Amino acid sequence: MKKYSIQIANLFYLVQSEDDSVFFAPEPGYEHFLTENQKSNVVVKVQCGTPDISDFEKVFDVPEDASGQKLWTIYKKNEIYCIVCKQQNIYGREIQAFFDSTFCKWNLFIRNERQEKLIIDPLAYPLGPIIMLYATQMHDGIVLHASGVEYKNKGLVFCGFSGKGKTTISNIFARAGATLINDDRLIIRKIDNRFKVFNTPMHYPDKPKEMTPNSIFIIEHSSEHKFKPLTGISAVANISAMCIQHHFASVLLSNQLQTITELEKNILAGKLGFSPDKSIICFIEKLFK
Amino acid sequence: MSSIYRKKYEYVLKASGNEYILVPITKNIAEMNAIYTLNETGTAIWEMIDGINSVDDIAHHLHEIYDVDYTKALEDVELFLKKMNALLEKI
Repeated sequence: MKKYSIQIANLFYLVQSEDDSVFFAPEPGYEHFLTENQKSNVVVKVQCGTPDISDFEKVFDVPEDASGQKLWTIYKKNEIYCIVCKQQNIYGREIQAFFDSTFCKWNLFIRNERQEKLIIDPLAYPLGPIIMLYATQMHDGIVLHASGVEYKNKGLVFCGFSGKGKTTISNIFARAGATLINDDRLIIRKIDNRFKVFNTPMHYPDKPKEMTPNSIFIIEHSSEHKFKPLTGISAVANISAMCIQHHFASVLLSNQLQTITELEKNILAGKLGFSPDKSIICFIEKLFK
Repeated sequence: MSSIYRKKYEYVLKASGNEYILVPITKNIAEMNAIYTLNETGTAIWEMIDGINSVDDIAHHLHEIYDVDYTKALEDVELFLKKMNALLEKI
């Protein structure tokens, strides 16, 4: 296909190409997020080529991965940014992804000197999650390292880095009948003055889900259940630390802080230590009484 | 001669009630979770760190604006500089 649309957290992404060599095949994780809706908050145009960015300045870097390669780097010239990355699903080819200060208009160039036919998903890792992150931050939203469940009409968000227990605690609730929104990454957006939690495309197929957040817990394993509420600046700082974020553009950070400042006024937030057994369900239920 | 400091990075400063969150734009994914909270005094000190005002200048400013003893003001400034050391550089 030459054009398709996806919907994530009520934002619409239009992906298209007029290049004769480029065809699209979205990865399985995006399958249930495809939409016929022609709205577009974000436009991603794809073509072959290798524009010269030798006069761009490097503005953001990631550490090397296990193989010693940097997966992506961000450059900038005037008000135009360029992410240079390699994507596994395009046989390790380099992509240059240009975007402007709206963070929602993208032009992707794929190295293809031999003009071979390319059947690709331009939203595969790492570029897809990056495009989604910036679009979310520009539309009253944040992306969290978090799991989320809806249990007895309460939207529970559990934040934590890898190994802190996001999957463990969400599985405890799921076994008790909760709806699992996702166990690793969530978007929270303010839409029509109300906050909503959404799942995002993962490496496996999953249907779009959403819930209203009632609480954000910053979790860690503990020998006993304990809860320390957080409010105001402390809540904002702690939730901010759990966000996926790239510190190179002040507008993205500023938007993120604004969203969190408003969010924390509407929810129960706090640090939750838990031991991995189902008594945590009762413990959390009592917090709402 | 009193030392002069400047900020190493651009930053975002967000008010929440009487306090502020400061997030440095370090351009480095390893430091993406570095977040600082400042009270009103800390914010006043931060905003005076500009590569021109010396430590003494900042302490005098606090002494005048907040009507605090100069020695105490100087202590506060030096404590602040120590706390925010990672974001500042001495000229």
